[in-house]
Amino acid sequence: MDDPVKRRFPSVLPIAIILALAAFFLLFHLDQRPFWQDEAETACLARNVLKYGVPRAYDGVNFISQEQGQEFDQNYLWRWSPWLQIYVTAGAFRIMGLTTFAGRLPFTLFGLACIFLVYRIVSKNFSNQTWASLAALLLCFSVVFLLSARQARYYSMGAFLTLLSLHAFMEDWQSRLWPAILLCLSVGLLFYTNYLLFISFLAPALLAAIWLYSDKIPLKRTAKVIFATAFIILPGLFLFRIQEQSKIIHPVLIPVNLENYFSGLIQFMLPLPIILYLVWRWRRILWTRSSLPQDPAERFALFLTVIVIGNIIFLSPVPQCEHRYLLHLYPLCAIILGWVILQAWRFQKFSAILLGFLLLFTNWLNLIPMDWLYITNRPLLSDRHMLTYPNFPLKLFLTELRFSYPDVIGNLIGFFKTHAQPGDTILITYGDLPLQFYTNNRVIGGLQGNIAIPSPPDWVVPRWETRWNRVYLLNHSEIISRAKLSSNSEYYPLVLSFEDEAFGNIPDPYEHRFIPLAHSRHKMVVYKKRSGAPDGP
Amino acid sequence: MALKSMTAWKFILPAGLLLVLVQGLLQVAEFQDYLFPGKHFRSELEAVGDKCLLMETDLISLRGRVQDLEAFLASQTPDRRPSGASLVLSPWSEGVRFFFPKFFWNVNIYQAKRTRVKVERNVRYVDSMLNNLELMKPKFPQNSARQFSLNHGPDFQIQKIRARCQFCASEVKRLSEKLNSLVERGKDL
Repeated sequence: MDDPVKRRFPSVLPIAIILALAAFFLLFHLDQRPFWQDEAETACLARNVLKYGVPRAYDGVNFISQEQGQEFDQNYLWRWSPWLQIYVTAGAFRIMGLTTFAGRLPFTLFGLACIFLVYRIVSKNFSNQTWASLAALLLCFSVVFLLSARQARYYSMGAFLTLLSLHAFMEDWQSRLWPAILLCLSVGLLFYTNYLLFISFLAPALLAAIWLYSDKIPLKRTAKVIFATAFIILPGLFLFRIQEQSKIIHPVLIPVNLENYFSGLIQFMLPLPIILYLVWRWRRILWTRSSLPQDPAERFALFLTVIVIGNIIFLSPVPQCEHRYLLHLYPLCAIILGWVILQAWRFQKFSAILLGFLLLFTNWLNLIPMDWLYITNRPLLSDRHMLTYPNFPLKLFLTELRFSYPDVIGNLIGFFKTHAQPGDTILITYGDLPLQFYTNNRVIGGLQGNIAIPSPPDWVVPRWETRWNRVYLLNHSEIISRAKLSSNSEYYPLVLSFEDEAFGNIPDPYEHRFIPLAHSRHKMVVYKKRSGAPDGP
Repeated sequence: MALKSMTAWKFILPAGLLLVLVQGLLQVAEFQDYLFPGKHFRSELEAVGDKCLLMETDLISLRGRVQDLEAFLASQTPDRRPSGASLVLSPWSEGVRFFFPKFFWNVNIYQAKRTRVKVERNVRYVDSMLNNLELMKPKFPQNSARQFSLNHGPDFQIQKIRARCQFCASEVKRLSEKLNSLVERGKDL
């Protein structure tokens, strides 16, 4: 007779190895690079939570704003993005101190949990260890997912709650209480993580569920779940200025956003040949209901594919088109890709191995067919050691982890910590929030909008990349810094030895740099106020 | 028939994947520089040229939009009537223009500003890339450089793109001033 412990051990071994590997990828040198602008927004608000109990956008010295001061009310209470990520970061700061590591740790744990949940959803519902392990491994090797999960930002939390809601949906929530509660909670908390994710995920998920799992959606129970979820999100609807934000939606952006999101989907998530294969395989389902896949695994893959496509369509009217809004779909794509590799294995083993290699270790299947069709979306200033070029993504990622990358934010922090006096005022056109978090200075500018400057700032940092606001006008900080520097007498320039990159540790695959540029393009220039310059406005 | 198709796919699938594999290997920076020195330089130069072309297309669209807006502003008189010919030619745009003038104005101003930012941003990117290409040039091996004829050599091409880029920069500045004036004059619409 077989020993049950022995039987269980091999089935647990693959996911144990994958999780150990993922833990290394997610935790190794987690604080190597400082927070970039968006992470610093979360960190600064979390620091204020520790001070005031609520996320305040003003701490008596600095303003936290990236939307020209629209994010807070007259009491400086943050009313723009949901608070869950801020409180999670605040909790970590309370336990481990105000450090980069502490800020990022909870989110890396959510990332780790995502990999486990991917495995769990597939193995539990379809009893297929190979598919489950493949999907978990694909997610574990997805560099965009790893970069995003190593951020003090909601990305991995959104992905976790998305998966948790899918997990609950696949359980017996129709008759059991616990899965129903889990479904309500995960969807409700997704709203408090980021309501864009909530809207863009929930709407297509509901439609796809009605289409593909209509037999599993009892009307009464579904109404109860929807009502309970609505009850959870109700306070948030009033607290966050969703109405204000909906005003910035512009219909003319929809086609451009769709193009950008779909090119992001193909370049980093689901390669074009795979999408074509899926379209070919499911070509008849739109016309006849009888051609819907009968195999539960295939039906689930279709369900996830519809959610991914629908999610992008629902996201398209949102003005700020960022690839990170698709991050919660990476685990879903990993499950789909795992299923496709299995289909390839059944068809021809050699092709499946080749496909697995290409998907796990390279981005070639994503980029090369797009290059053939001349449809690659590659920003002009990207270089060959980025994810927009054919590469071994994991090699790039490990190179960054192993060799400390001194990014622009780290260099700026180092410079001001050494050269600025405590209490000096710094005017910077972008990157104000990391400086607020890491230095003892008053930092103004960035995307804060029209903020009064009582006296000429001690330092002016006009970043190379010009920033415009949402209505395509120059940001106030750009205008002010240009005005300040137009007369040469008040300030003198210091050309620093490092590169003035646009962002720092941004996880966006179009922008993230793993290694410094081979040839410097534009050095950072910082302007210092002359000692005799007048102090008046 | 189905069997034949299956057999064909058994060749097509691995062949396609192998093709991607080989292409991918050839495009890895280290391999590419070793096997095809100068190829990356040329593709970068091409990309910059393409971007410049895109910028010129955007400028044409911006110029057209500014002209449209000027004509629209000039036609905003109390006794305004939609022209029958234009209604037949472009019923949608003429309809929007006549029945929803404010919407027409706002959408076009928004689009014009967006295009202006796009061009201004690209002018800086192209300029930066050209500077970068100038730096890459000394590493460019002689035998590959010879592949370019005198009139199509890297220096010549960089200069040509730079001249186009400078023209775009001055043109977008001129159109930007016109656009600012239009925004000012159209405030009371």
